[in-house]
Amino acid sequence: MQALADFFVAPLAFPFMVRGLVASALVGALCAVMGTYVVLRGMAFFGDALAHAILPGVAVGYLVTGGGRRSLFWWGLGTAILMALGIGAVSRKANLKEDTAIGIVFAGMFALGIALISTVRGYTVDLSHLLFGNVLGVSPRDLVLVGAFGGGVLLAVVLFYKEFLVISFDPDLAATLRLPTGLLSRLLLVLIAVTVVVSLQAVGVALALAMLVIPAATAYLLVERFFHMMWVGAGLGALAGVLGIYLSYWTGIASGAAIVLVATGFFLLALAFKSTSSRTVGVLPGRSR
Amino acid sequence: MTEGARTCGRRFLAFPRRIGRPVAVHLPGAPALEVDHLYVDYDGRPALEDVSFSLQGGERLAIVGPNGAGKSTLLKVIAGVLSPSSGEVRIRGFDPCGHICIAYLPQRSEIDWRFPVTVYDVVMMGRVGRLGLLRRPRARDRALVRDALEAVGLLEVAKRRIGELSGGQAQRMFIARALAQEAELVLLDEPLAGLDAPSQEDILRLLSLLEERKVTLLLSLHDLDIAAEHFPRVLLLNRRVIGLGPPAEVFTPARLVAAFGGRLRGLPAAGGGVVVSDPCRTQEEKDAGAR
Repeated sequence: MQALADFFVAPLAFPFMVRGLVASALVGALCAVMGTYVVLRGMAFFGDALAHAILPGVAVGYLVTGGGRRSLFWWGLGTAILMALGIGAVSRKANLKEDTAIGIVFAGMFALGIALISTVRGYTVDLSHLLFGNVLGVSPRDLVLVGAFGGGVLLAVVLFYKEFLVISFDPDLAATLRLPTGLLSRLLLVLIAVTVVVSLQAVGVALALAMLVIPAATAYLLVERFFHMMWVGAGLGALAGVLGIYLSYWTGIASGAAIVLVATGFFLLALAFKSTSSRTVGVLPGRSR
Repeated sequence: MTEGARTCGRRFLAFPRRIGRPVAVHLPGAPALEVDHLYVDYDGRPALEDVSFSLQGGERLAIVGPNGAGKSTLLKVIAGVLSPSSGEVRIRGFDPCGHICIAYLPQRSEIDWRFPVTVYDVVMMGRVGRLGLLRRPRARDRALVRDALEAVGLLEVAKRRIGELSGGQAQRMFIARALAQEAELVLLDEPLAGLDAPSQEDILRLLSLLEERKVTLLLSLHDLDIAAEHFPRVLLLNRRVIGLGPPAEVFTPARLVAAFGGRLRGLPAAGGGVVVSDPCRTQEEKDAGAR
C-alpha cells in the first residue's frame, strides 16, 4: 500500500511533473472528444496529415525567432488552421479525391518542414521534441495556452453539439434541415486542427493521431451512444495521459510514447472485453441484413 | 468531407438569422412541388435532361426507372441537397432552399449503421432544423418524437442502437424522423429495396398514414408492380421523362422499352398487357448484401 502511494505521490514533489500530469490529462480528454468525430467521420488520415503538415510552420517560426520556443505554438496554430481549410480547397480545385489531396499536402509539407529544420545546426534535439513531444518540459505559460484553447474547443463542441452530430451522421439531412453544412464542417476541421496543435507538446507530431483515435475508438467499443462515447473517451484519454506520465517517470521511456502505449493497452483490454461479452450474449435477433 | 454541389448551406452570411426559421413562405394555391425544365450534370455528364412535372398537396407519385436513370439525383435536387445546372424547383412557389418542410429519406446503404446513435436520437435529429442554434430539445420536441415513434411502431426499440434494426425497422425509423420534422413533402429514395414482402406492406401502410396527414409523397421504386398497384400516378424516368400519368397509361411496352432498354426482362402478360419485370434485382441484392 505504502509502495503504491509512493508510486503516485513521490513524483508530485517536482513541479514539472505536476504540470506534465495536468497537461497530459487535459490533452488526453480533449483529443478523445474531438477524436469522436475523427473516428466516426473516418478522418484519421486527415488528422495525421494535419499533425505532420504543421511542421514547416513551426520550423519557419523557429528560424524567424532564432530558435526561441515561445512563439512556436502560435506558428503551429496558424499553420494548422491554414492546412485544415487548405486541404478542402486543394481537393475542390484539382478535382481530386480528398485522401489524395491530403496525401500530397501532407508529404510535401512534412518534407518542407524537415528541410527547413535541417538548415539549423544541431536541429535533432528540437526536431525530436516536435516529433515525439516533451510533456515534462511544459511551462506554466504553456499550460495556460493548453487550458484556454482546449476550453475553447470544448465550448464550441457544447454549443454546436446537435449540429455537429447531424452533419456527421447524415450530411443530406443537415442540408435539408438547412443547416450551414459547409461552414459547420470547416469549423469542425479548425477545431480538430486546434486540438492537434494543443496536443503537440504532450505527444508530438508523430503520436498526435494516436491520441485522437485510440481513446475514442476504445469508447466506441464500450458504449452505445455518441454522447457517452465522448465522455468515456475523455475519461480514458485523461487516464492514459496520467498513467503514461507515471510510466515514463518510473521507467524512463519517452513520455509521449508511454501515454500512447497506455491508451493502446486500454484499447486492447476493451477489445478483449467486447469479444468475450458478445460471445456470451450472441448476435441479437431481428437482423435481416 | 467535401460538400460537392450543395445549394442550401452556402450562403453563410445569412446563417445566423436563417437557422431554424424558414425564409420561404407558402404561397396559397401554388402547387406543393413544381419541377420546371430541370437539367442536372453530374461529373460533366448529364444526369437529368429537361425534367418537368408538378404535384398537388397530398398527392403521391412514384418515380420508376432503371439504375442510373437519375432518380436519386432528382430527389436530391428537389430536397435542395444538390443544385441543378439549369431549370427550377419550386416548393409552394419558392426555391427549396428556404424550406425546412422537406424530408429526404436516404437509401439505407448511404447511412453508416455502426454510428453510435439510438433510434430515438435519429428521430430527434429531425427536430434540429426547428430548434435553432444553441437550443436544446423541449417538451414539445420530445412529445413529437415520441408520437412519431409510436406512429411507426418503434416505441419499444427507441433505445436500441440503430445497427440492431432490421431493414424494415430502419426504414420506419426514417419515416418517424420525417414525421418529427413535421415535413409536408417527403422524398423517399428506394424505401422498399431489399425488404421482404411483409416489411414492404408495413412501409406502404405508413405511406398511407402520411397521406392522411396531407403529406405530399414522392418516392423512387424498382418494382413496377408495386408502383402500378399503389400509386395513382407514376413518373417513368430515364434521364428524361419517358412517361407521366396513371400506371395503365404509362407502363406500355413501348415506353418501358424506351426506359429500360435491353434490360427489360419481363413480358407483356396474355390478358391485360400487364408487364411483370424486375430489372434491378441484382442491384437490390447488392444493397441487401451490403447491409
